[in-house]
Amino acid sequence: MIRYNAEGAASIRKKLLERVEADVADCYQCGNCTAGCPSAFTFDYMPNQVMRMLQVGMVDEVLSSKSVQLCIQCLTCTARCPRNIDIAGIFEDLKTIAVAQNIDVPEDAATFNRLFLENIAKYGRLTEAMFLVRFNIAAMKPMNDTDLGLPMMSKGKIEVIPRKSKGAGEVGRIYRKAMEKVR
Amino acid sequence: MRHSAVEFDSTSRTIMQALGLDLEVVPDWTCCGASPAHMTDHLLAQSLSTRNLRQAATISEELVAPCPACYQREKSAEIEVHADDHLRAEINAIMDAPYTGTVRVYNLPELLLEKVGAETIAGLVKVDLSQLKVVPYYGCLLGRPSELTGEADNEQPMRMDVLLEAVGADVKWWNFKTEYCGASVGVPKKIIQQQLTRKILEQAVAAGADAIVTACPLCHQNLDMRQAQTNAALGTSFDIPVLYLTQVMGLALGFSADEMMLEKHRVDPRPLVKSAIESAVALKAEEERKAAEKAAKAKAKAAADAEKVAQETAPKTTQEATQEAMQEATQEATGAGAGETPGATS
Repeated sequence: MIRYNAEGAASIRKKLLERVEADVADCYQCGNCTAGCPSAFTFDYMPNQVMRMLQVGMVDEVLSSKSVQLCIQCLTCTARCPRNIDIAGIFEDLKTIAVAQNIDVPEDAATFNRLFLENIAKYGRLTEAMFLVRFNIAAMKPMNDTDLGLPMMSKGKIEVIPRKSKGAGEVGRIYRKAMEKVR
Repeated sequence: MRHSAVEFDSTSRTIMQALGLDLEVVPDWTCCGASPAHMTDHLLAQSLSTRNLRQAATISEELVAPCPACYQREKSAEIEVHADDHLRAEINAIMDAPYTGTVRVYNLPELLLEKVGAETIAGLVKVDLSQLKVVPYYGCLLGRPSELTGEADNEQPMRMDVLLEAVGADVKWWNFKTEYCGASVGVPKKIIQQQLTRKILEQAVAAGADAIVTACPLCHQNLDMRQAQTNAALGTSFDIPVLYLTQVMGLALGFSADEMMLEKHRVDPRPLVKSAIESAVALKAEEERKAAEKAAKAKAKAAADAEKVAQETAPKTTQEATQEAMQEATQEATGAGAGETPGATS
């Protein structure tokens, strides 16, 4: 069990926010990031709005937003920003701050990430079917993607019996040590 | 890749071997952490990737990651760790053994172009794929960001275009090369993935393609395995095969549909591939037949012309001969006037 370390988390958050704020200051609200964002239609705040909110210090609202969770890191905004701001990188940092702060976040993306990492920490490589089952239980979507089961099974694309890879022990140790530093 | 993308794994190995690349699997490789790791913690993500660089360093100085997501993570670790000794020390502190190497990471199209080259590949083509109309789909992570991938343009990556043209496929131009397919968001938030997948399928059809070519297992999962799911959710009726780059290249290099594991896809590409290859053969035969016909016609025409020329020249010669004979006769008749021109005499 990883215990939450408030002091450590606060210092990490401060460090990250300094970086985020330095970059965010350059934003002049052209809206290019929002125009190109493929998942903005599911966001509560548009990417350029997130930039503005960070400029005026609305950090907590941003950290608990859907936008930060549903950003899929396709890097389109970063590639197209005329001010050369690594917007996707800022969203990535915001996601990690939310993890470090143990913030209660909307949507299932954080659960997906946590279960994915727990899976590889145990097996070394992702055991896809087992991971999907565990995710469906945690997200309370029992029927999620079960329609893919049969076609994938018949094509021999499902690993029925999960196997541990040789480096699994080290991956587990890396995961625990990194997360202890975070929290 | 051993399971859900087994055909990409197998065909990547097959064509790399066929192109003379010496490939060995990284000993005891483990997951790079993919998006969940870098969305959780930076040190965690870079450590998981660096572990693979360390394992690779035991057998080589160069690492190819066919999966673009793995490539992006490994490349990011390569760039950061090699430039930042402090980060390297931090990573080494949480790994079991330190990484001290300088492994260079390649993506698959990059490796094929740099180590083999488009011209060499074009020279090895055995099967004509000119009737296979395709659009290359790069997705997010093969092109972006160009500082990392080495593509000249973020929005207009070209490596797959060059390779597909080298093996003779009919590459269609489209504007959705780097649009996002939804990646793993198909699990936690389906609507994003479905909307994005639909757009890509729609644009591929509009561009006149009969198949989409990708080099990413997750793109393939969304475009092929989830195509029926997307159709059901959005009321569309797409039925477009999605091929791996390695499969198209393998087919051109003369490998069979079975060797390229085309049966592994949910939207069966075999009828399309078969008819494309057959129509290319038929078209070539037709062209050869036409060329032969044309050549035969030209030959016949040449022969006819020659005959005509012969016929035209023959009477002329007779006429000339007659004229000459008549002239001679006249000259003989005038007798003394011989040797002088008629004009000069008069």
